[in-house]
This record gives sequence, C-alpha cells and structure tokens, in this order.
Amino acid sequence: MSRGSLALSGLASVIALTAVVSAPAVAQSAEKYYSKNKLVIFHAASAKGSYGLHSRLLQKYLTKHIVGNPKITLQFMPGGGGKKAANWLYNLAPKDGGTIAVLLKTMAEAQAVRAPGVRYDMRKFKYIASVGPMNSVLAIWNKTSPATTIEEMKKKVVILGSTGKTSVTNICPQLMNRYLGTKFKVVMGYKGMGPIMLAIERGEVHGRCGDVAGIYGGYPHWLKNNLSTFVVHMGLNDDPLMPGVPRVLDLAETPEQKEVFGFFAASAAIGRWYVAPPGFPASHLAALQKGFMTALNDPDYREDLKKRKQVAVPVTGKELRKLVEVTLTASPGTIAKARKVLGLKN
Amino acid sequence: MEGVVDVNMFDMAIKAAGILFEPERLFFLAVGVVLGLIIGVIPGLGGLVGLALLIPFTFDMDTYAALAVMMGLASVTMTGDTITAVLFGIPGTISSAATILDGYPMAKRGEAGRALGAGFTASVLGGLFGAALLFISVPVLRPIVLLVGSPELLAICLFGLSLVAVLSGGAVLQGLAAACIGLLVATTGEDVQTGELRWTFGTLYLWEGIPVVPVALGLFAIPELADLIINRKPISQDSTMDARKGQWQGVRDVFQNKFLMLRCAFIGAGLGSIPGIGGSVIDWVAYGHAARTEKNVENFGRGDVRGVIASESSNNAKEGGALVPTIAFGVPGSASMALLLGAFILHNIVPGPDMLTKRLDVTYTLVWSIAVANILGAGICFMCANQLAKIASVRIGILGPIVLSVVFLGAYQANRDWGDFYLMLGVGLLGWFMKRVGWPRPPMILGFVLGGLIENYMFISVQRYDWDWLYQPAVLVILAVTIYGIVRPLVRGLKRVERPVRRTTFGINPITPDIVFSALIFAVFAAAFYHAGSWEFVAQVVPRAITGAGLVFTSLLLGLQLFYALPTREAERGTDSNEGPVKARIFDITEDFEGLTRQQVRSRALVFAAWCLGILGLIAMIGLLCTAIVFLLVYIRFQSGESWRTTLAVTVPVGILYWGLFDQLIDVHWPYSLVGNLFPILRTELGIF
Repeated sequence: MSRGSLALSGLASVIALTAVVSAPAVAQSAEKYYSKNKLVIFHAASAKGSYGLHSRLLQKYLTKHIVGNPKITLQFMPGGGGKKAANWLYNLAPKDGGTIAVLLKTMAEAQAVRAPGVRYDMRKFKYIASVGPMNSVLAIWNKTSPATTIEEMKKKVVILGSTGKTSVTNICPQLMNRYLGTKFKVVMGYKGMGPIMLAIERGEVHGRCGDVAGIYGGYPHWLKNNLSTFVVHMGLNDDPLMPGVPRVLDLAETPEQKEVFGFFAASAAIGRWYVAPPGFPASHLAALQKGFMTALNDPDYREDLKKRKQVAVPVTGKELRKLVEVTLTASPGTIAKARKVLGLKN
Repeated sequence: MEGVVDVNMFDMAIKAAGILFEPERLFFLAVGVVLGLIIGVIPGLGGLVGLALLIPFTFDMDTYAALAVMMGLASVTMTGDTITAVLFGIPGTISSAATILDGYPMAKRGEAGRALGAGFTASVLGGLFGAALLFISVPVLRPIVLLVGSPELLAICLFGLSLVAVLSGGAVLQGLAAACIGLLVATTGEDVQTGELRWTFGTLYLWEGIPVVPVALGLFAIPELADLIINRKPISQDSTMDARKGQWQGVRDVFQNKFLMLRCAFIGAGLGSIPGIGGSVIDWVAYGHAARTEKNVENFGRGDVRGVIASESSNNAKEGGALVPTIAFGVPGSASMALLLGAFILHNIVPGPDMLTKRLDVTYTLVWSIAVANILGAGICFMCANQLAKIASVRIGILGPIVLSVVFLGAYQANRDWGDFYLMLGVGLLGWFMKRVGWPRPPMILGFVLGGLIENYMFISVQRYDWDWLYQPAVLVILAVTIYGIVRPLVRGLKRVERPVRRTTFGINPITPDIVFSALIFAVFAAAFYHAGSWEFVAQVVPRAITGAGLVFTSLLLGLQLFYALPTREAERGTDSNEGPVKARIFDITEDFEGLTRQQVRSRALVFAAWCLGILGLIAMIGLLCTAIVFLLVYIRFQSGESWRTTLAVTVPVGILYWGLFDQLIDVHWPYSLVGNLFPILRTELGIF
C-alpha cells in the first residue's frame, strides 16, 4: 500500500524505512515506553501564565516518579477559551501514551452548557490527576471599597475589575448579583489579572474575583497590613489558602441557589488537571496516574510549593471523573440557569 | 510615603554590581546576550520565545545567574532585530517594524554599514538610558505607576493613533483608510463586553483575536520579498560606502542627533513602563515623534538615518521601562516580562514593594544586567556588522528563498496553527497591493496594534467614570498635545498655501489599479459595516464607527481618483514602464522596478504567489520543517539556476540550523502533515511530520 506513496518523494521513503525498523510503540510496556520516549504535556494556556509555572515546578518530580523516568517537555496551545487545546487533544493528539494535556477546568462546564466551539466529549477523555482545586476568591481592597462584607455589598455598589464577559471575573459577580442580591458593578476589558490588580491598587476598581493562588504567588503584599479582605470563595470545599473564608455555597439559601452554585463549584474543584486523549493505552494511563499522585505527594515537591506559598490538594483520576459526571448530568433547569449566568442566548 | 527608600541606594547598587560581576554570572549573562541576538535576528522569534526556552534551564541555577541570563536575552533582542530590519526590510521582532522604513532604503543605497552602526549605537544608548532611568526612579516607581489609570492609557493610545496623520505623509486619505483597516482587523475575536464573536468565521483561530507577528510579517516581509524576487537584483546594488567607514559614520550620526536619541529613549522607557503598551507601539510613536519634530523630514521613509535612530533608541529603552511595573507591582510590563515574573516566582523572588526596599539587590542586579547586556550585545553586533553588511549584496536567488523560508517558520511561532500561514499570506497580498498603489502601511499596523487597546480602555473608562474620564488632568494634557499635533501642521499648511497649478477641470478618469483597489477596500468596509449590524449594540459600536470612517475616507478617495486628476498621479498614467511614478510622499518603503515592464512585474509576481501557494501545499504534505528545506533546495537549484554545489552548500547548513534551532532547541510542535497521517510512527518517532 505504501509503495505508491513512497514513490512520491525520496525523502518520504528514507523516513519510511526508519519507520519499518522501529517497533510499534503501543505494544510496549509503560516502563519500556517511558524509558525511551518523552512525555509531552500540552497546556491550554500560554507559556507565560500560572499553568506553565505549575508544570515546571512539578516537572522533575514527574520524571522521578513515573516508571521509566521519561523526559518531560512542555508545550503551550492557548486559544478559543481553552477549547482549542481540548478539541485538539480529543480529535488529533497522538494516542500512543506520549502526549497528555492540562486543560482548563471549565471544559466539562462548557460541554454541559453547550457552549459554541466544543468538539469533544468530556466522558471519553482519560483523567490522570489534578494538582488541586483552583478556587476563585472575591478579594476586596479595604482602602477604597465602600463595603467589605456580603451584607454591605447588598446595599452598596462595589466595582469589580474583569477581563471579559465569559471569564470567571465576570461570572462570579453576576452569579452573586442574580442569586444573592449583591450590587456589584463589573468593569470589563482588562487584559489579564495583572492589570486588574494594578487597577485595584490605583483605586480604579475595588476588587476582583479570581484565582486565590495567584495572590499568594504574585501579590503577597496584599495579605499584609490589612490591605485586602477575602469575602467569599467559589470553591466546592474549604481551601487551605483561605481558612475561615466562606464558600459561596454556604450563602445559598434555596435549593435552586445551591444547585446553581454547586454547578460552578464543580469546575473549581477540578482545578489544574492532567488529561489524556481517548484511546490512550490503559497500562500507560495507570502508570501516569500512579506517577502523578506519587509526585504530587512527594515531600520535596510540597516543600517547593510551600516556599512559593502554593499548595497541592491532589485529586485522583477517579475523583475527577465523578466531578465531570456531576457537571454533565446537571438538570436541564440548572443548565438553563447556568447559560443565563454565562450570557449564552437561550 | 509609599515606596520611599531609606536604604542607601548607591550602596545597594554597588553591592548588586559585586553580585553580577562574578565570572560565572557574567558568563551566563553573555550566553543570554548571544541567544538574544540570534532570536532577535530571526523574524517571528522574540523575547517571549527566548525566555520560555530559558526558564527550564534557570530552574536549578543560582538566582542572580538566572536573572542575568534572562535579562541578557530580553535586553538585546531589540539590538539583534535591527539587522533583519536594515538588511531585508523585515522586522526581526515586532519592536523594530519602524526601523525598516529608513534602515532598509539605506541598505539598498549601499549604506547598510551606516544604518547598522547608527542602529546599534542608538540601541545601546537607548538601553543604557532605560537602565539609568530605572535606577534613579526606584524611590518613586510605585507612585508613578499608580498615576496612570485606564483614562490616561486611553489618552496615550489616542495620541499614538493621531500619529497616523504624520505617518500618512502626503497620502492622507490613503493613510486614514489604512488605519481604519488596521483598527477593523483589531476588532476580530471575542468581544469582551458582550461575548459576541466578531469576524471569527466559525474558527477557533480567530477567537482570541489576531496575533500581531503574522500580520507584521505579512504586511512588511512578504511584499519586500516579493519585490526583491521580482526585481532579481541584490538588495544593495551599489556600495557607495565602505561598510566599516559607514559604521563609524552611523555612530557619529547618533551623536549628532543625541537629543533626538534621548527623546526617543525617554519615549521608549516611559511607554515601556505602562503595562499594555508594548513594543509593537513604541517604535512607531518614537518614529512619529521624530517625523513630527525634526526639521527637513522629506527623506524620512527613504533612508534618513534619524528614522533608524528614533526607532532603535526607543525599543531598547523599553525593557528598562517594562521592568518598572513588573518589579514594583508584579504586573508584567511586556510579554517577556510576564515570563520573567514566572522566573521570579520559581526563584522565590516576590515582586512588589519589597523589591524597592529589602530586595533592592535583586532590582539593581536587573538594572546592571540590562546595562551590561546592552553594551555586550552592541559590541558583538559591531564586530560582525562588517560581515553582516555584505549579506545585502548576496545574490537574491539565494538570499530570497532563505528569508522566505525563515518567514514561514517565524510566522508559525505565533499560534502554531495553520491560521498563521493563511493570515500572513492574506495580509501579505494586501500589503503588496498597498505598496503598489502607494497606500502607506505604517498607519495600518499602528491602527491594528492600538485598535484593541483603544476599544478596551474606552469601555473601561466610560463604564467606570462615565464621561468624567475626560476631565482627569493628565488626560486633558495628553489630549491637548494630541490635538495640537494634529492642528498645527494644518494651520501651517494653510498659512503657507502655495496654490499649485492643478488641473481644475473635472472629468472621468480612466480606471486604474489604484481605483480598483480603493473600490475593493470601500466594498470591504461596506460589507463589514452591514455585517456588524447583526451584533449586540455594544459589540457593534466600535466596528461600525471604524467602518463608517473607513467608508467616508475611501469614498472621498474614490471621488478624487475618479473625477479629479491628482497631480501626484499624473506621471504614472499612460506609460507602460514602471519608471519613476511620482507618488505622494509617504513614510513607507516604495519600489520602482526600474527597467521592468508591467508585464514582467505581473508575471514574476504571479510566479512568487505560486511559490507561496506551493509552500503551503508542501507543508500539508510533508510538514513545515521538511518543506522549508525542500523549498530551499528546489528554489535555489531550479528557479535561481544555481549549481548543485552552491545549492547544497546553502541548503545543508541552513537545514541543519533550522532543525537544531526550531526542532531541538525551541521544541516546536509542528503542524500535522499527510505523511504523518499515513505513517503515524514517523510522527511519534521524529516529531516533524
């Protein structure tokens, strides 16, 4: 079959010969495979953000704990609100055990609400592990904000900075305005969290809703001298970085509120997750699941994180599957409400 | 007061110098500098790619050495990019786009040495200026950064946009229409206010907007390459000046224009310190400033060394500026600074107020690194400039395909997507036609890079302050300067009215390519205006305002072209040769195709287009890396008719370089090809299919 193709170009024939010589990768054991091949981790984000940073911190521990001690390389594929990487992983990525990805936590949510651009079925992915939940916190700058508690925020207008309509920086205040009666005004258009943080210190906006780990890592002076208040967080469970800060779920008064808040909190619980494409060899998946969990629990890795004021609360592949299932099986009523919060036209 | 430093700054600075001037750290700084220069030279690769490449290696390094290698790289990419800009008319990084306007015509005249000399000198002095400014402003960094809010940013961007008027030169309507094209392109992608997907045509590629690198390469590189290949002559045909002598002349030029250099370095460092205003804007603002404030600017855009000085001093000064918000607030001042910030966190350095007090040693190590890297980088470039200048006289049949293949590899670094190729070639076609009909391209790129910012800052300002944003003191000052800059030349022009002898009879002119082009752009604006009506109101405001303005400008232009014979066009009509069309003076490179008939130009342009499409087809079949190499081989041997010996002598080392740099070092994720689909094993084993 390949004869015609070979004749097409001399180059192809040379490479094809190499192909014949090398044995098919899938037939190998995971250990043998990873001792010979590198593990490529794609990120649904750009190289400059926190996703790359976390993988770089984890990198050497993965090499140490995955059987065969594979070399790890990082690749970045931002775009389409994270859907570009998810679509690619589902439809195009090699399924030989050498390629996995860190997807955005909202990919299951996007499928559930039928967001445009979804070309994957979340259920068919294979889940390796998650570093831990990525909880968004509503953080307020005390010096300028007219209100610092939820009760006050129901009476006074607090201005929050946001990157755009479909980002958590907007969804979180919209959710609270709609269901808790707060009066947040959202100013959209900032190019990332950095400019929002600057706008807050400058007094242009009063606060923001976003990743809590980012404050610990990049803006620790926020935590000193009573400069800021963490009002509420969007997570499913309590967060070790925010002891005593209530979850938005705790504020839910009706079953309806609980349902909608729970739907969005499930994404937060998924967090920074490592996912393999459908058709990934089972033995390789098992090897990665084991290797990742061992690496995430390595005391030295934890120490590395601690030095940078970060934490890991590892989530297993099995638990991730459950969280995805919760999101995908949400009732049509919840989906309709979530679509409204997300600004999708019904 | 916040940010006041009681620690003795100078003691800390000396301590930091002691830290950096250890042999091992200096060695790493030098490594960073060499890498930075290489990355700067290659179009499409900038500080971002370079730093992403370095981060894994710096992980286990001593903190100061890690900072030295990273700052070394980031500080000199804007020195290296001068080389590509001057020699090929292609921006090596996006920050040097304005350098090509004068640097490249100088190289064509045989003054490559002088342009490079001036460019490197302006670079190093600009870089040192940025470092010095950072050094002295440490105590007031935080208060200064806090002064600039979204309304001020909006005013600054509007000021930048007002430079379109200057950059349009004598072709005002064409320039304004080109700026509208740029602004319109910038509205592509998900609208942040409404979530509306504007001009994405169902693709994910366009979802997050259009990346700047393929646009810049398309607008400047592809037309330049096309014309070089059509002309079939070396870039520099007559060497009027010895390269070494020229280089010194360039150095003298900078010192003769030291105030211009200082002003532009100040613009670079100042704008660089504002997050959101990046390298893609700064060089144009500096260039526009020079064109507006200098005397006798009639040669700007045709090889005036002051254009090179303005652009190069500003873009090197910007890295010093960009460090300001990065270290003082943890807010990256540029894309490369975002990665530096990542490295900070990996090395447990916490940006913020502490950097200006307790960790001044780190801050000053960064300052020293910028200074030393700039000197080292310019020194290396000076040493090589003599050899580099000779590249301009290499046969185009060899140089052309090398540069074209690099441009394809570079464009793909934007999003690593097929969309990068389509975008570059599409914009390339537009750029080539713009060049042919005398539409200035700088206003388009300026509109493009400022368009997104202006829309964002406008919505933020209005949402936050309603119309009160207009009354902030700094905003009033900047807007007043902007208006003064626009009105002054008009008033002057009116005062000095010398009525030229013009044909006052109105008639219907014959249809020329100029008219067809204007009509096409008019049609695009009209279609876009109509289409935007289907979106939510907030999402359509800006696109409709832009297309509305575009319709006004193009219809005025069409009216003039159809019914009124512009004196600047008369000479062009009725001749078959391409010799010396008298065009309106525009700040852009022009090409006259001396001695070629229109027929020849047309057929060679079609051959070039066919090669570009051929490259696309080949990429689909055998992948990008193999295509780059196969294309070189085939083009040099068969299109240029070189001997097999020459062909292989060029192709083999260049091919190895491509493989080493892009596949091994940068670890590019190559686009999937037919061969890879047919033989998946090849993809997993070799990675390049």
